[in-house]
Amino acid sequence: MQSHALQHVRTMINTVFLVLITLAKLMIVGMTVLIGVMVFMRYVMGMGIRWANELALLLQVWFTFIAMALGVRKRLHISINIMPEKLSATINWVLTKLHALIIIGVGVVMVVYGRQLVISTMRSVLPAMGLRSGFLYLALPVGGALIVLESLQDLFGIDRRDEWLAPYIGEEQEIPEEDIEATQTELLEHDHG
Amino acid sequence: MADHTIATYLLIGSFLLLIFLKLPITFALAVSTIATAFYLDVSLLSIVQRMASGVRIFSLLAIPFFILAGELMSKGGIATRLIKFSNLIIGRLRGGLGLVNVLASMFFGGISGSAVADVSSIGSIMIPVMKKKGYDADYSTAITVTSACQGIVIPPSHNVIIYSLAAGGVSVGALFLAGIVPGVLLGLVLMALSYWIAVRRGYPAESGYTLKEARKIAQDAMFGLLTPIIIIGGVISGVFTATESAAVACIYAFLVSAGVYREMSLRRLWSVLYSTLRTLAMVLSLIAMANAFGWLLAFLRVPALVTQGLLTISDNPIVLLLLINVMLLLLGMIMDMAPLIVITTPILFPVVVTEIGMSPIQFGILMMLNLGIGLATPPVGTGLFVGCAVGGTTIEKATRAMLPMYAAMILVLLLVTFIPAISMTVPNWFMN
Repeated sequence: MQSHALQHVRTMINTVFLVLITLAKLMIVGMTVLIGVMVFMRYVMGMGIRWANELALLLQVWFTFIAMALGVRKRLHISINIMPEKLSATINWVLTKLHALIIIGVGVVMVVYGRQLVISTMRSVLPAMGLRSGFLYLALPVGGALIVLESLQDLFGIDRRDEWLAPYIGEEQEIPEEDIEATQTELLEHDHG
Repeated sequence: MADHTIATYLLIGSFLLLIFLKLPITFALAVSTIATAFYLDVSLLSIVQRMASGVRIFSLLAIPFFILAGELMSKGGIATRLIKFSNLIIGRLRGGLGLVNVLASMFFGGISGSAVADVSSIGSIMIPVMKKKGYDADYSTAITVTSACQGIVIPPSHNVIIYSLAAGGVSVGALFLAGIVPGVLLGLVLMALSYWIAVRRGYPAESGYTLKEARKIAQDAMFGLLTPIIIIGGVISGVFTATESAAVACIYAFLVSAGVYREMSLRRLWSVLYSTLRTLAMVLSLIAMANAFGWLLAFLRVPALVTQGLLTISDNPIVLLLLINVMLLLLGMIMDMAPLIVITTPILFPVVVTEIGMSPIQFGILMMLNLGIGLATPPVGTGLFVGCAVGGTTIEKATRAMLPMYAAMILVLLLVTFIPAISMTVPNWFMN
């Protein structure tokens, strides 16, 4: 039986995670529309948007570091398997915990030095938008903090209850089942026709 | 005070140790960079800044756009239409579905550029149908997995963008153009091989379509196939940069899947965005970390050392190129594409381009082919794993069925390595 406090913490982390993932998706949409509009303005209206590239890059830095944390949670980051597939349970346990500790370390460096970087760049501005540069680098400590939170759950072996989140973040099969079946039937029946 | 030799060993050694311990490559890069910077007394502030600036590059924006366009198209109904279109063109030959599989991958590669997406979308439709029509499961899986490698070479491909950056800004447009002939060549060789196998094993041929059906199928496919034409055309003509054309292609892909194919709901768009983010999670943070790592590599002059080392083995360009191919193939067997591109490009570039004198464009295609083959080889081949899962066969069986196909792919690789004209004719033609 897990304590109520733990459940609260988990709900909190899941909420933060969901909000950031949603933001990252909207950033991708925003970026696409932004560059699309920029091209349209340049060729059709004959005027460029000076700050479009800068904003798109700001968004890219942000969703890179949010996605990095997503990768930790969903184990998307690639590793290589030179070691034998089947290791003893003990070795696997040690490796999992070791990975979690190392990733926490990287997250902490991102938070600590990212924070310093934000502070030291708050005085300078991004030339085209006039936004303070610190907001660009803020993605580092935010992403780092999320990475730490996610690997802490790995370290302590906490069940994330990911199935609650699946419908909200949009996890689905590559191609919808009905399309696959329709095409397969067509290819199969076409033969007899 | 800090000794550069020790720092080099620390950087490379800790990286190798960590990936051996199965730590994700992204984090292995980060840890070895941080540790070495600490030893060299380089400010971690500048290392962290390099991570962020690694992804703050305009041409890199093309990567999310290409991935998004590919996802929009594959979830928005393009895969099924390309398969029907390929069936229309080539299905009536013996072993038709095997050929259709290769041709559909060639078209799909022009849209998605991801071998894994190709295997899972084309394979999940084709393999079950092929099995029902009497094709062997191992053959069906093998042809799906090997043909998917075309997608990496055929433009547009986001891996080419990663190479272009890692190589210090090789023209993306030229790389796209250079990939056309080798990609199609690979497809044709695979088609010839699968036809030969089909005749020997007595696989069936498909029946034709009526003219009315044919027109509908061709029309449907054309809307999708315009996506790569927009991208490549935009880049070649200089109307758009690669990044801009990729963004325009996303908007076009969305309009086609929502307006023409009518297969894009808001809910599906939401899941398209999620799968885009999933792919980006791995690619972009890897590039961010590799940027900091690569900076230390250059600072410690590792690429120069590797060049010297290779030149002591031999100064014959043919031997060196064969050696590099073997090395890349072996690395490709145990490691995935994106990390290999970001790590090996800066190291091998000086040898191949400066010493041997190969065009950086041809080297890019060479690299894509090598690493593409790696996706289809055990022990670590993402394409192979997905294919075996979809095809319901074991890695051993699929690998055995793939032996003649590996030979075909290596033949194409050797041709591309030693005949520059295969890759360079098209870009020279357009760029001059």
